Amino acid sequence: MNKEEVGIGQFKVIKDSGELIARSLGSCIALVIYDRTNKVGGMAHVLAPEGNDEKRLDKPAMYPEPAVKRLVRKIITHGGDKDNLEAKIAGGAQMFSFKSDGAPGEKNVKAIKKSLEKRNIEITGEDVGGNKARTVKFDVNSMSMKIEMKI
Amino acid sequence: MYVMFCSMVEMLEDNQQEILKGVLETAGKKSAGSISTMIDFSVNADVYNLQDAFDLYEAEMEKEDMAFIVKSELKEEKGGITFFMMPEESTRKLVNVLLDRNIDERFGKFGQEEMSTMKEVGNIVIGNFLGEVSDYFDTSILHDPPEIVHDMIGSFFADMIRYTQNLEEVMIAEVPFASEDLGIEGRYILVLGDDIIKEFVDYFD
Repeated sequence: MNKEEVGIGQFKVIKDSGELIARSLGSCIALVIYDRTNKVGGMAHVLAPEGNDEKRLDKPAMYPEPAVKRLVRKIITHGGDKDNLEAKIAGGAQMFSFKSDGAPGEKNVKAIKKSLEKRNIEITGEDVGGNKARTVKFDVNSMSMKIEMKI
Repeated sequence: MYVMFCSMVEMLEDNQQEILKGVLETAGKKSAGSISTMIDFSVNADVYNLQDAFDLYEAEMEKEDMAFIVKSELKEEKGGITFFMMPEESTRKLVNVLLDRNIDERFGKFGQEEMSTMKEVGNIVIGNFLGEVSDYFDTSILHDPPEIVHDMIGSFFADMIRYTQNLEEVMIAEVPFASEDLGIEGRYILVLGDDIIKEFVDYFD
């Protein structure tokens, strides 16, 4: 099976079959959007709820709104239909709290949900929050997400 | 030792940058020495100039290896965070030595005693580094009580990079600790934000 790693701030789309993997997510989010009918799905590895999108042009999915926008656009160019899109999200843990940014994982989840809601994309599954890191795998053939944690 | 400078520091004269690197290197050696004294092993430090925190740690952000991470935030008026990180197996060995056990003794899980020991090591390393830097710049860099986390290395680095995204200027100093003989390795990382960098730069004026 074709396996593609999705690095931080990156997004990838696969058609028909393959697996997308985002490793070691703390407060980051693995956002998956897919069209089950046309068998196309993509994953974005989102870092923070907000930030300067122009700062790192080589990381087009660092923040929720541009990540959702770009992922949807790419899924459509791969044969997806915007009316069929569904989403799954995982991550947003609270590993550390920093005085300056409160609960970033929680803010990340809220920002992703807001961007999805704006486009009427339904969330069909989520595993968010907690205080443990996750590795997230998405199988484009079955449209299923697998979460791995280490204890 | 790795040092990543920011634009504010790069405006300093070359010799001033060298002094700043020297101060950080001395602090690194002092904090490394604090472990060294406790368990009798040596460490080496080198200094490099690096530019971008994201590029510096990108490869680390996807690592799934488990580590113990002791984190402390600098007192609010200073702005910065500091970490001591050690892979699981190194932590097991270090804790064994410090608790006067056989270095290779296996134990099922890290309990209260082991976690407290590791937290204390982190606290000593952090305190020694910051104390040395404070002394040189005639200031007081205090830190909050440390927290300890046991999780994947990558998630920690991503959180650290996310923290730096909120800062105008970032300076990072990293000190790797290693003992080939004992098979123990660890890293101390200090991330400094705008206000404290300005304080350092002003010192040279």
